[in-house]
Amino acid sequence: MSAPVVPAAEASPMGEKIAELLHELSVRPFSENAAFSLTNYTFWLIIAVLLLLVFMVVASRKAKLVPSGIGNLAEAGVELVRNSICVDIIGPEGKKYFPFIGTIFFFVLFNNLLGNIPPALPGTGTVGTTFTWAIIVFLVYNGIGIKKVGFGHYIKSFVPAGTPMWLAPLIFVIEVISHLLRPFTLGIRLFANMYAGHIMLGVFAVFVAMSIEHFSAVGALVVPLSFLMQVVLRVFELFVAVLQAYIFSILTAVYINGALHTGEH
Amino acid sequence: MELIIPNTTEMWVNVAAFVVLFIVMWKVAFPPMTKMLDERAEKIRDSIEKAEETRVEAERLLEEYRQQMADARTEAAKIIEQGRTVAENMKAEILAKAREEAEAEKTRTLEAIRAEKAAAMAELQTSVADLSVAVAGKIIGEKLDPAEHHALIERYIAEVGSLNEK
Amino acid sequence: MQALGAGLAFGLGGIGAAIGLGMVGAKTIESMARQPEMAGRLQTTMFIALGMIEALGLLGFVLAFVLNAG
Repeated sequence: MSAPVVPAAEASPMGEKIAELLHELSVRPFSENAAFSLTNYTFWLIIAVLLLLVFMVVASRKAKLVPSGIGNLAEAGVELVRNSICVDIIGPEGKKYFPFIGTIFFFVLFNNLLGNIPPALPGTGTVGTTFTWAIIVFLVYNGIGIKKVGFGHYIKSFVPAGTPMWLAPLIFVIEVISHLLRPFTLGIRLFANMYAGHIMLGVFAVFVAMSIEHFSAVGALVVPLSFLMQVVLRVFELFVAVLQAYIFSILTAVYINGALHTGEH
Repeated sequence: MELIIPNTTEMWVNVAAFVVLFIVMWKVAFPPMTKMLDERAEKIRDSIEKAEETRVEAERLLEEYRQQMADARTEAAKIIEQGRTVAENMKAEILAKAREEAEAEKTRTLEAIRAEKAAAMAELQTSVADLSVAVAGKIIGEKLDPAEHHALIERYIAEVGSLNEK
Repeated sequence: MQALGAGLAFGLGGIGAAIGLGMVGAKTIESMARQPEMAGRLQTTMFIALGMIEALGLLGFVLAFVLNAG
């Protein structure tokens, strides 16, 4: 499989530690040369998915007029996705796309949040996950557009009506590229946020480890500051987890909305 | 570069995760929750509508009652006004009558007094005449004859009269 | 040379992201001061913009690691 991400071995202890950190956070399959082996990220992804399934099934049993306990939380999430993402962006017919967008939101949310708990890694912290889901979103929104207006018309809608003939190919190319970029940016955005968060946490941990190993006057100052920074970063990562799930879902809704209203610029 | 090239084993796991999650959520988990959300929204909307209706009804009734109260009050004021004018009229009447009576009484009394005075004057005239004759006869002796005697009486009565009229 | 490239990638990307985020934040605060009753809606929109702009900054960060490894 792919070689772990490791920079050239540095002589400095800091370099070594950083190299170790990067090695830990890279995709490491459990067994080499197997086509379908779990990797360290996929392992945590499966755990997050199982947690999500349990949570959802339990919450749906508790759906009463005035919910209690877990049902409350799940309902808050469902209402957030349904009202402020589906209906606000797509309009009244957005409720029918809610299962898809809801699945995306809760999947990304649970994976991101699980990654915040120390030994776990976020399932979305690897491009395998994020690009896969971004490609799924891409296929779905194009499928919706094609189902609505037919394949030929959908392709023709890339060029807005009323452009002169000599400009049309250029605009077509630009539109296609912009459409192809969408899953790429979607995937990279989520991946970069999660990966960078973990690297930052790791770097401050490396500072603390280094200062403890090589005792010095500056080290006594570095340790509490780095520790404080880690705490702050963890809180920030929680916020980023929820925010990134929200953004992924909202962009999905925006793309679906654009597909539903093709050619209505 | 391996950092941004997806790992194919991961991709399959993710596709499987998506399929499983989507089917479970779509068929099992979301329907009760969305149904509950819709029901609750419906119920709240109904309650609000009913509350609105009741409020409008209550306001209408309030308006009606207020109108009735205002009518009753004007009615009462009118009645009082009527009563007052009637009472005023009666008072004026009674006063006028009383004044009339008093006037009549006064004139009658004045008349009576005048009559009495006249009678007293006449009586006084005769007694004064007799007394003066007697005194004059006594003082003068017997030298008085009836003609002088009448002239004396007249003159004396005139003086008494003028004294009386003072 | 690669280390230089990686450093430049992250640095310039960071500048762009920071300036963009600063402008979004400033405009949001100004709008909230002008019309306090829209504060909730403005905050939500700000977070969305934040997430999208930050992604471009993080692209530089990730690129630094990609360049360092290759």
